[in-house]
Amino acid sequence: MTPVAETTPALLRVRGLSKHFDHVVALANVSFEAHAHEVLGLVGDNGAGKSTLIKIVSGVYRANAGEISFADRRVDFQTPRESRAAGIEVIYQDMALVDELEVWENVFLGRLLRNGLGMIERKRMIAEAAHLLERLGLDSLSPTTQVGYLSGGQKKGVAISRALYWDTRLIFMDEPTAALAVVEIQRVLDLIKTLRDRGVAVVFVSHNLKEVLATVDRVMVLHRGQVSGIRDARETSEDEVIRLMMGST
Amino acid sequence: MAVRDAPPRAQRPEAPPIDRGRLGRRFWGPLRDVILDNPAVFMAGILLAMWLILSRLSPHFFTVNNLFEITVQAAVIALIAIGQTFVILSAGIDLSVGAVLAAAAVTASLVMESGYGLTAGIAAALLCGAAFGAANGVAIGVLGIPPFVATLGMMGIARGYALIVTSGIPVFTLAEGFEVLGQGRVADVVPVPTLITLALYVLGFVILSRTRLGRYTYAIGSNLQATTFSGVNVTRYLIVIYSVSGITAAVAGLIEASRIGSGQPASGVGYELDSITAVVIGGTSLFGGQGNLFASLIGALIIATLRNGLNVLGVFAFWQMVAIGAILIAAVYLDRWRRRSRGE
Repeated sequence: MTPVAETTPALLRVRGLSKHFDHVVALANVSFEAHAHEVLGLVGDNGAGKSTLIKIVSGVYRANAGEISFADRRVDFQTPRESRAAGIEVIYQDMALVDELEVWENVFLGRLLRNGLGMIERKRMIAEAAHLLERLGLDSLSPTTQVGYLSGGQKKGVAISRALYWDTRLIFMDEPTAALAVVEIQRVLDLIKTLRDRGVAVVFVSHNLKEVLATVDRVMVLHRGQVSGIRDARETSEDEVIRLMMGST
Repeated sequence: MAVRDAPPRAQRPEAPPIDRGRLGRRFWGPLRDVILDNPAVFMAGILLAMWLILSRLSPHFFTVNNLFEITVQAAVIALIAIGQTFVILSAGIDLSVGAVLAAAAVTASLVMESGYGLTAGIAAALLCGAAFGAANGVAIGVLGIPPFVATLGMMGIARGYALIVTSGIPVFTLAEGFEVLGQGRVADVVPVPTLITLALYVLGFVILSRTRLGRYTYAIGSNLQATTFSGVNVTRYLIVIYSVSGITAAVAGLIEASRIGSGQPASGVGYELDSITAVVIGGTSLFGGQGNLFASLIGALIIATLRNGLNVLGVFAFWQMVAIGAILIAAVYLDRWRRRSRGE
């Protein structure tokens, strides 16, 4: 099988991205591409710039230099709202779910559907959330459960279904398997593959190299704000990735 | 991953068991679950118990007239508590409501005194309340000032405004028909303030449970960061939430002015604490995100019942303050205990 990266045009193109906070350089001249139908691993030591990169692409931070194009259009997102409207979703490590609200409300948070009277369309959203969970194989999860009662893996499932509902084309997943039970980790990794098979471009950030190499198609390594290497997952090894993370080639 | 039957209460971490005897164990278990799941139901039970006890103690208590009198006495605090509930659900606090009540009352009175009529007076009061509330929202949402400080500042500003525009003198000339708001009775039985209060509670309940504003109020109070990342315009909603609080304080100001027949620049002192007490007694969490509106109505009724009941029994008025303070502390303890039991 030919790698997706060589056969499909890039969905996300990042060229020469740089970001500094006062005198601290967070990213220096970072360039990469992400493709539909592909999982791209993003690894690097703490402080390598992974989070900064995600935050720039999703409109939380502004870059100091460089350009981003998404779906063949030059973009410059000012807020997370804009990047989301374009089809980019970030699933944060600390989850960004509201514990006091029910599953369906979390799926629709920020975009609750309303009828002509300004009332939210509760029944419709519950039905759509149920349908969505079913599509992801999460049908044991009731859309009317309060999110605070869910396990870590179930919460990831909710976050992923939220991302999927909104015709998301690119999903950043920041440490989606951190703090999960073993069974749940496998479930989340399977969900990532499901997303890929549905044509979503997934950027998977993790510290667990075994998980990364078993899940992704390509892996990109950051070291002190720079790209120290991009490798095909089948042609690299944990050892090589670790060397790249340490900055040696 | 069957969620429905996920964590049963029994498996949650609990404090070491205390031997309460056989009877204690049989009743404590189910009672504990009711309190944990729905503090509002529990507080409604307390209110009913208070009514039963008071009706045994005094023949004057459990009469239609006296019960409606309690609702009238509760109306002003209950109305302020609507906005206060919105604010506290969003993990904020509004200390300016008592002063805004006075500001709105004197604004309405001055407009009516100047001969612009009843409607203009009411509209002016509502606008005044909304403006002070929106200013709170801007200070908190745009300038990033903590709610406690922002609304404490606004408390001084609104009180100062009320005293300045009236030169500190109550306004006695009001429009004709204004007295109906606070003193009228529908069919000679049901007090108008009671009906207004009920109507606004129903409206507030619909807003909280069925509109974006309501759901985002809970979301902001439960997890501000997640709500922001979801693309909710938190600043805009905070301005609206504090405006709601300003408006309900203004309605309360109109009713109070109507009841006493004058716009008093010194009215509403301490009402911010009474309204917070009502909300907290109702079980709404000061940490935000948890609670329901009708519980605040129950809270306001409990306060009014205590005052009325102790009056009917002839208990010295200062003891009422002690009783209400004790109930407030007990309610907050209940909330803490609830959170601990749920492993939060």
